[in-house]
Amino acid sequence: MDRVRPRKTLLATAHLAHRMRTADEVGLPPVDPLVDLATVADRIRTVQARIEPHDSPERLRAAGVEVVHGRGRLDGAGSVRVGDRVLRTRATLLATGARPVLPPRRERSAASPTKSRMPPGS
Amino acid sequence: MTAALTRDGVDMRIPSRVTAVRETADGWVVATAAGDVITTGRIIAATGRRPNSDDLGLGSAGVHAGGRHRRRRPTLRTSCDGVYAAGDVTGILPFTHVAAAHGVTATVNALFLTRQKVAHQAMPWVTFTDPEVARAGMTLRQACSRFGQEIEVVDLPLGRVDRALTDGSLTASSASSVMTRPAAVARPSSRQRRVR
Repeated sequence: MDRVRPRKTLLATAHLAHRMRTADEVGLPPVDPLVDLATVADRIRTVQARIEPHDSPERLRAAGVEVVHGRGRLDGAGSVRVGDRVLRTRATLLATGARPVLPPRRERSAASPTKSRMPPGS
Repeated sequence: MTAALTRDGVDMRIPSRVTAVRETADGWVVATAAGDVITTGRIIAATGRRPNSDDLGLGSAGVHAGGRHRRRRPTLRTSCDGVYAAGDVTGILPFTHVAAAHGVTATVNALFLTRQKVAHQAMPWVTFTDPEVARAGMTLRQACSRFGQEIEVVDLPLGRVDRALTDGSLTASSASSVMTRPAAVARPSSRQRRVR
């Protein structure tokens, strides 16, 4: 299962920094905060560590869910194949998300793009 | 929006279709159709996303991916009995709140064999800029194509909305429009304009 994304955690910090800089909009003296990225990164890791157990396979298993890792594919109507296993299903829910589309590339480059990994529906 | 982003230090070039990107010793050199040449250290391409549906064995179960018909499946049932889809993989309104609504509706329909529908038409649309751009319901063009040209458009500047004022997050051009069918409007006032 994927790790929790730090994006929203970073956004909370960025939003407040922006509100501080534009505080005059609500009648406060604007402040330009000194941003220490290492401290911000520490906070992101702390939040990640707190959230992770909630999204973990162990928690789902404790709730009676069987978690199977691997690439699942439909195998005809009513079954899903994961590796060598064929799971019979009454209902199958596809929730595999989307991925970024990159512009076409004409020439080869040594640089490889970093793609955002988007959880479904983000 | 341009004014707000410019105030934040963004150099907006609109319209400016990117025609070529070259890697040089100084960084990336971006050329645009407008004739601009911009050198930069990083490029963020926000050019859309594609559903992860290629390697799911859809064909083996007779599930048709994409296409125009997907929007006619508000129950989130696919073309195969017992197979449902939720969230970005559907290609419909890729937002967290839509995926959450999809998850609930698809699960209930799958487990209880109901035919609950997701109201995509009423789903809020958000562009996560600052200030945010939000939309609910039809666009003007969609309303015109559905109801013809006789539509009332009511413009309401957010500068006249008390909660927007107290929030202090206004920009000069903040505005909202409400479109209704003529029958729903008792008496057109001067602030309403008729679309032709």
